Amino acid sequence: MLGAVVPMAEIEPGCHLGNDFGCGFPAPDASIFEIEPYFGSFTKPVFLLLLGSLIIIIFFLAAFRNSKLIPGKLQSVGEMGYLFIRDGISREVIGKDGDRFVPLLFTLFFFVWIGNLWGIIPGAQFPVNSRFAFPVGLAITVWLIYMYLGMRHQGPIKFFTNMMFPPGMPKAIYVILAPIELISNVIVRPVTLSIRLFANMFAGHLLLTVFTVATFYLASLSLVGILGSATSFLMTIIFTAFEALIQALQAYIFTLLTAVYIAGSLHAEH
Amino acid sequence: MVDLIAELTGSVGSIGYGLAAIGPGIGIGIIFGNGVQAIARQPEAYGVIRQNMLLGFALAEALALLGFVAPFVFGT
Amino acid sequence: MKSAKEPVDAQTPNAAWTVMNNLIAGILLYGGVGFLIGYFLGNTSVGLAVGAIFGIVASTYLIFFRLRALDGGHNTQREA
Repeated sequence: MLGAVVPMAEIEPGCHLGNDFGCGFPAPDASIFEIEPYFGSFTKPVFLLLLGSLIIIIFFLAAFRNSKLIPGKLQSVGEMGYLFIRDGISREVIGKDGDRFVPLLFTLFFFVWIGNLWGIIPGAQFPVNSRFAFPVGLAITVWLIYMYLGMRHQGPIKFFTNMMFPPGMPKAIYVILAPIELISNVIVRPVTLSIRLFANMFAGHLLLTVFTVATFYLASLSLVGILGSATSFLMTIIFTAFEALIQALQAYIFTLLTAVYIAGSLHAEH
Repeated sequence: MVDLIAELTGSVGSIGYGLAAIGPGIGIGIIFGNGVQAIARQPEAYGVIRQNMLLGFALAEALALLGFVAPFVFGT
Repeated sequence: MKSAKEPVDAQTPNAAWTVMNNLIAGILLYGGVGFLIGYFLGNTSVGLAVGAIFGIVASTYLIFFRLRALDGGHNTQREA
């Protein structure tokens, strides 16, 4: 009874555990991220990103239009979002004179977060930041910002000398350590920023795909089939919840590290 | 004489890195868990605890990154 | 409680990411240097391995001295 697997070919022809079609488990690989463009080169991630930007703009315009001193419901939610960035990230890390960077951090946080959220919204299940170009573009923007700010605030030569020779160390190891510091701050920072976001979204989407395909593949009228299929479906639900947490966390970490790099450019080490 | 039961083709280096990341993952978890507990017990010692915590983290992470480099060293 | 009063490089999340960035940069840089030296001397694998290990040692020294210097000397174990 345990080993007998009833083929489901009569009920639904497809690649199931007990059918005779001979296909193994169709393991998802990196090719599930390549989707046909709608027309020209207008692909699905671009469409989702434009739609997400439109949603953010409409929501915050509606929340802050006719703003009263005692906020209504929509304005409260909008204020919660804005104050989370301003008090939680910007004032903690940069200080009060960093208020001119709050619009940048606010935009980055909600842009990355809604790009990630498309991964679990049914109908459009594709996290935008799982295509490597989108995190790379954001990381290059952040890199240009903190390099330009550092060079303008501390002077171009002093920016690099402050970065390469942090004070308080024995003089003899400066020769070995200056290249490490230089590469670490100039090259490794944007690389890790983009790879962290990309790898988390890529892995999460792949994991959800594996569990969904397993639910479909293991469906057959036997003990193994029913248990396997039900367990895979349960794991899909659990991992969707976990994925929602990871998406918000990655957006928060991206914004927090941007604020830290800006603060590091503005206030040099004394 | 010996029958071939299972065979692995493709990139063995990625499996090597996956195995090499288990130990440092557990080690870093233990380090930071104990560090947080120590800070909770005595918040005045925050500076000393953080210094040692990050030093231990660097040493454990170094092994994981060495596992990333090893396939290129021993590769064909 | 860490806040904007503490210098940015000394706050714990930034210090942890700085440690990891320094480690990656040290390994890649000195692995690359070792690879180039090995290329000119004949054996690239040995050069890469020696360079990577030297990079780990150099990064660990850098991290140790940076962490000691970050606290400014008023939180080290010398005061007991």
